Amino acid sequence: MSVLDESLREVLRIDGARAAVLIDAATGMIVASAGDLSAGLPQAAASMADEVRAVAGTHGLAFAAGAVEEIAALTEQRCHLLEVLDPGTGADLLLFVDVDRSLTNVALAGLQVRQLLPGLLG
Amino acid sequence: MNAARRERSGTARTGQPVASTGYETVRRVLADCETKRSFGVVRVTGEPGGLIYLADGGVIAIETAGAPGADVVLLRSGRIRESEWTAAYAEAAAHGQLAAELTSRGLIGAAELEAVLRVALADAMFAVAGGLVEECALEQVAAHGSEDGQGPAGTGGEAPVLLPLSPPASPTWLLAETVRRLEVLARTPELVRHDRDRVTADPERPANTPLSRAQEELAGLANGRRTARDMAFVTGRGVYALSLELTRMNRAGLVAITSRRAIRPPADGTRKQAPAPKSQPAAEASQPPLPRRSNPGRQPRPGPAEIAPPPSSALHRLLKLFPAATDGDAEAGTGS
Repeated sequence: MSVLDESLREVLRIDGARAAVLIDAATGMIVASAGDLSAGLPQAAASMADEVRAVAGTHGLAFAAGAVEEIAALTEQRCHLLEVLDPGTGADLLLFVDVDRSLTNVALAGLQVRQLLPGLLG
Repeated sequence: MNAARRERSGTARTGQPVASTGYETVRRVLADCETKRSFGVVRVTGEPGGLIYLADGGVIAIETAGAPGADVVLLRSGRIRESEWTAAYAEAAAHGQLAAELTSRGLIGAAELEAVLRVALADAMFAVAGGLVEECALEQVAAHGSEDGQGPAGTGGEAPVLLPLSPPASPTWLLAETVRRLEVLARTPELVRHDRDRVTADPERPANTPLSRAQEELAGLANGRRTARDMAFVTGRGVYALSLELTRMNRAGLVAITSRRAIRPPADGTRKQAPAPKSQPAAEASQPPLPRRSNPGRQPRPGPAEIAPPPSSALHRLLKLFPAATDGDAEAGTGS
């Protein structure tokens, strides 16, 4: 198993985490993935990359308050977290985590994901 | 030996043809290699062409002039400083394990390096399989290879590539990503094609136009002589990513396509069977005309054929010295 896959499996240890996907922000490509993945994930990944770009563009114009770190989307049953990894890397990467809200507290899951980020690409 | 002969991947605006020709040739050869778990090198001739290194049926590296490799990405992006790279490279020369040397020195994490390699591989596959493919064949079949991708390709056990991906990437995954990219580009309006369209930054852009750092860098490089591919090698970013970024900038009026690079025709006589008018090269014939923007308040830009180099440029001075050189210059703008 690759080092990258092992890192993503660490994310799946978080209560309620159903899938973890590493996305290349510049292309919307799925770099690696783990967990329960839906068929439409490649298109969704590209949309998420666009979303980050759109939000970053908006904030750059309106607020100039620094780089985007996280985007969260909540539905009745799921929490989708999109974390922007260290932009100093050669490839700008996003971590998408699909969390089942019935199995955990959303805020706790977000905190646990963010705690894993520094070591994710180690 | 597998061998096949096809042509450039189509760029139709709709439907399936985006991945029906050059891509299909490469896909068939790589699928066969994946099934047989081949070790070796698949040579793709064409524009840009390249070498696809295989281990156990998977792709460990791609060398092509069409997209920057992981080493260029790491160095040009500033992720690894050149002095650090040089030291690691010198040390790795003894054992051929540059990836291990980079990670052991703490220059980059193993997972991050793997991510960079996978992103660079996908970009290279897009450039090769999405380009003009004349021939594609597996050669240099190795008798043995190792699981980590070191020592394949029948070269006596020595690593044939600088940074092999371990474990190897599935050709199926790489080619599926290529198809996704071709489909995205096929439905993208005002597309700046990565291998052909040279762009120039709009000199009339207001100074206070907000640009991202990446866009600022690209605007500085957009001097009318560079394509997205050229800029990819300068910046260490992917050709597909830059094609999209420049397309967004083109749409916003920040850059404009000012000339097109001619793609050389296949060298196997294909051109003789289907000649194209001299004013419209074969690779150009199937392409739609350059998109025209109707932007109120802006002067329409001249077409590529009317573009003159800026008075301050070296090209302008040369053209004044040798005016006859402007005739028949295939690189001077072949846009329709």
